[in-house]
Amino acid sequence: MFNPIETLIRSVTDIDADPYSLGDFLGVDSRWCQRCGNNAILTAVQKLCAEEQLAPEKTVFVSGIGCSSRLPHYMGTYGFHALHGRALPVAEGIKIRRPDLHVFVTTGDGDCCSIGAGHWLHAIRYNMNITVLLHDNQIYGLTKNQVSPTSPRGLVSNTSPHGASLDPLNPLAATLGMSNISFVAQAVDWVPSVLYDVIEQAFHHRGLSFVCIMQRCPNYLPDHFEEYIKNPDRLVLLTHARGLQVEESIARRFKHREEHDPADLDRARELSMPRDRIPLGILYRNPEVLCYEDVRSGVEHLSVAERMAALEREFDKFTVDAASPQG
Amino acid sequence: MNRMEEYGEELAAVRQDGRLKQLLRIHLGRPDAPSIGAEPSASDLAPALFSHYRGLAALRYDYPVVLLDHDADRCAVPLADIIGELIRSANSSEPGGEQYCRDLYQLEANIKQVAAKGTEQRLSTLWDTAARQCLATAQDARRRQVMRENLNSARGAIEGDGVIADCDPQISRCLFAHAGQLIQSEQGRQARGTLDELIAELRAILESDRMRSARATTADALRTSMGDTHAGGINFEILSSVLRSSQHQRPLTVSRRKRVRSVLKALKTERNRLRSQSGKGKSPRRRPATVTIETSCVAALEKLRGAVQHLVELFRALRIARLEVENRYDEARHDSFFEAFGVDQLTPEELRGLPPLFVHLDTDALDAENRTALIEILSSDLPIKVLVELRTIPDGIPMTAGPGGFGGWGTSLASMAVMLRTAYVLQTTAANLPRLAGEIIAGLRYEGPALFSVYSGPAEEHPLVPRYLHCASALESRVFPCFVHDPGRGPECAQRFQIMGNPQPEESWPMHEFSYEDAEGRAMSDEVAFTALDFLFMDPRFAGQYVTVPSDSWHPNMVSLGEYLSLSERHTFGKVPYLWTVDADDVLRRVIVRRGLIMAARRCHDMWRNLQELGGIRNSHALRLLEAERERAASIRDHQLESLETVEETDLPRAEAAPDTSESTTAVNEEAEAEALTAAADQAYIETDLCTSCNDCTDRNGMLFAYNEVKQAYIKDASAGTFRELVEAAENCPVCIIHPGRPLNQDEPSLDDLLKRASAFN
Ligand SMILES: Cc1ncc(C[n+]2csc(CCOP(=O)(O)OP(=O)(O)O)c2C)c(N)n1
Ligand code: SF4
Ligand SMILES: [Mg+2]
Repeated sequence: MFNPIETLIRSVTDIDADPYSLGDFLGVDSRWCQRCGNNAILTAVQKLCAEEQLAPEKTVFVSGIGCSSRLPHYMGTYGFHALHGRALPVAEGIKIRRPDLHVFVTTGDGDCCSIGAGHWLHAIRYNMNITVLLHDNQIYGLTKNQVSPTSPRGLVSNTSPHGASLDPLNPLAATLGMSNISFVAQAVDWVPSVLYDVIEQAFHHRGLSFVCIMQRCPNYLPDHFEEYIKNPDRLVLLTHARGLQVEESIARRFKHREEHDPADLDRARELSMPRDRIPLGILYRNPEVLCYEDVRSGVEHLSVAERMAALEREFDKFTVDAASPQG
Repeated sequence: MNRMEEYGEELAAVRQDGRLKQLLRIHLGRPDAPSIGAEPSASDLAPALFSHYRGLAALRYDYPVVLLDHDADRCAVPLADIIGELIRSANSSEPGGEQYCRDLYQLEANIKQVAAKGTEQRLSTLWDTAARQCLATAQDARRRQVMRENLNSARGAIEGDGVIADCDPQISRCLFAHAGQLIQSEQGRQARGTLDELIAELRAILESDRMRSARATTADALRTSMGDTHAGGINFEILSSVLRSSQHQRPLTVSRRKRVRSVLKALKTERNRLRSQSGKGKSPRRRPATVTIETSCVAALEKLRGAVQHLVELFRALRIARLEVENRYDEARHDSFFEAFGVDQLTPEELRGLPPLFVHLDTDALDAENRTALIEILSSDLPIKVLVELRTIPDGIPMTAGPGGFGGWGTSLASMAVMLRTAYVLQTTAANLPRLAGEIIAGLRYEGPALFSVYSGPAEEHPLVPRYLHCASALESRVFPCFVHDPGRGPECAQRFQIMGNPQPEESWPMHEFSYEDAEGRAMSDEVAFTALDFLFMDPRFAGQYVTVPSDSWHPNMVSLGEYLSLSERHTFGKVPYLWTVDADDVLRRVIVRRGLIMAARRCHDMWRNLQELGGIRNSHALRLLEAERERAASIRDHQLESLETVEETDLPRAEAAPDTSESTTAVNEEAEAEALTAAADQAYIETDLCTSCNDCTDRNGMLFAYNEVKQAYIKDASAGTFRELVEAAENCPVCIIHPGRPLNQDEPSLDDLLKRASAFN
């Protein structure tokens, strides 16, 4: 509907303002180990912010605790370094109160799939318009080499000296099994263009977009991902007119490619299950799923007095009238 | 050829038929017309097709209408629809369901009776009055109890409330004002939402500045803000010194604070103005202020010019506010810009943000100055919404010249406005205003000018024909057809222009089945057209144009008006057109129509035909194209058939092979490529696209390796490092995208070993 003033202000003529560059999104210098895969993810989101010209003061990165969760410090935007496992509920709180902000969540496999697993499932179901990046290095990095729910069986670590005894949790399959899912994708930190394209699509999707990123931890698992890096045949690139469209120069590197329609949930679930090859690209997308903030918007610009009056009105409904027989 | 020769026999036949000659004389209005006929008195005759509607009060139609508060998308709903909806949603097959329906219909009839008296009351009030009347008629206490429950439950199920209006002389203005007020508060609400948001954000800027100020971080201030709960547990002196030493002390500059404050003040003033204008929220008790309706186009234009100045101030404040909120206000650049901010800086969209102005005009009271101003408005971009009411049709006919046509200023106004292209135009009669309330709202929401041209009938109602029926017949008779032109729907005529709400739009005149008894009491039935002359029959100004003839003078050459008008001029020769009418006792009469009026009816039909074309009905361009396409398709088909026959006999021709040069070109290209590759292989390079920004190489030697603008590495200066550094970086790069090439310095130590190691990456 035509909203005169809104359209007008949007057309504010400020032609000579400088566009944002990647430099506007740099925070403090990173303290990650050299060669850590987190660096690639950081670059990808900085590039996204610059390409999308997101106002730094309108953008917020929320994280829990872990190496990966340090990312907000390295961004030139707002950030919230929350408690371990609590990135998602904090992000949801921000989004419901300030739907105008671009909200990103960066979380580790420990942060999201272990201590934060409950929040993870409910955040998926609430489907708020947030971009979630799961940095899955299959280890607790920050606490120095402890086994994580996504570590492969048999992994020897400080907390599993005889090798991890359980099969790993599969974040992709778990997410695809939830209700109200609206965007599920996977990328790897060492193919930057695909990583960027996936995150870009995740950002443009309206709803909760869940991106699982395989992330190298050269410090504790130096050779862990080598087999995938050296042998791209272990990956299968998912492309589709409604999903990723990859330049031929990049696509050529993948021997295995599949035309996968992101609307096809059954195939997405099959692809997510443990097999020889791990899928790369957009597994599932459904823009029709309702966003929680659209049904339950918390935003009303009321003065303190107006707010008090509204509360009083609500409370009055529960006032017990001592004189009435029901009371 | 003279007439005698052309019409030959026909003329001879007419000449010999005395009775026919008499009728023709009447039709042609000859001074020697016989006095067999009598001028009908309009007060006791009406067009026969009206006979069904005699008891209008007992029929359920679009009036009275409820002008619902608060909801622009349901701004006018017929009472009959509201009652109908209540009945539909109740289950009439349940026990008591039928009684429920009957009670509601009785209530509806009572409400209508009161509404017809023209009292401007709300549905809720009228409902209660009518309900009391209904209850008073109940036969006994039990029946009364059931009825009370029925009416109460129905009343509870009604959504919304509003004034009830009947089809009276004020209805057009009343609905216009009502819709205008809804739009005004709707737009006000949206604007207020934006303002509220900006105000909150500007306040937040000032508030966060205050929180950082020295005043807000004194021990006392902190103690007060935390309250007593922590009195013993916190040392506020220490907290204060910690806060003061650790916080970034970057207060707002004086000029920025001043600017934010002044803009905040301006926005608050605007918000308060909007609040007082549109009422607050959707509270049913608080009714928004009514809109101001101008009665002159000249005054409206004047007023709008004043509003532009206000708009400049407002947008100046809004733009500054937006820049401040986004932290993009740059004094060096913006101060001078806003200093000189004026009308010229407003964008077209901004200009369209002017709140709409409403004008109501009576065509009778339209002087030359106002006509000019009206045209200026309709061809502008300005959001001025004009309701023009016509009370007589044809308007302004020079009676001396005889009833020639319908092209008066008022009747043609809407069609002329369509040609101006920029205005939203709606033409309709008061009768179908309730059905077109959505179009009125669309016109008011449209960002440019709008014209609502409405025929609402003479101030004095016809004794036999109520106003609603009169207006409905103006529409039905094509004298005042309904159409909409909405430029907002697209640039093409097919998108913008619609003839809507007209009965049987495909037909020249709407056709109706008409049943009657003939003199012998036999049931007869006829297809009768409702024409412009049925409408004019009700107008005393044309009484002299109709002549009633007794049934003993009827003649086989008398043809009904619809049929007569469908004949070409040539075929009307010797025919006498008549109109079926009924008197107060339901006796059918034939009324001969004079020649002059036939011309008027043809003119009216012409204008209708033109609208049909614009609305895409039997559009002559389209028909012509269609015909041409049909011919083309037919000739292609013939041609194909022909060639099929020949193909059977001959072989299909073979395409001659062109000399293929592609192979040799490829060879040359490959050679050049290989050469370039060898040269390049000597140089160190990085596959930058594949870099994961892991910092490994850049940390080794920041002069040799560097990041580009998207933080991916490239060889910045190969001479700024050693070959060893290149090789080691290549070995450590997690994605193996560094290619060391060949050493620049041939004297570097252990080159042999390095070259061997490099070969794995070259
Ligand atoms: C409530 C709580 N429990 C435990 C910890 C200790 N802790 C810090 S980080 C971490 C695991 C982080 O692993 P992950 O999320 O995979 O992050 P990574 O370091 O691998 O990026 C744990 C258990 C904590 N900080 N808070
Ligand atoms: S420990 Fe692993 S995950 Fe953490 S910064 Fe180092 S390499 Fe990266
Ligand atoms: Mg981890």
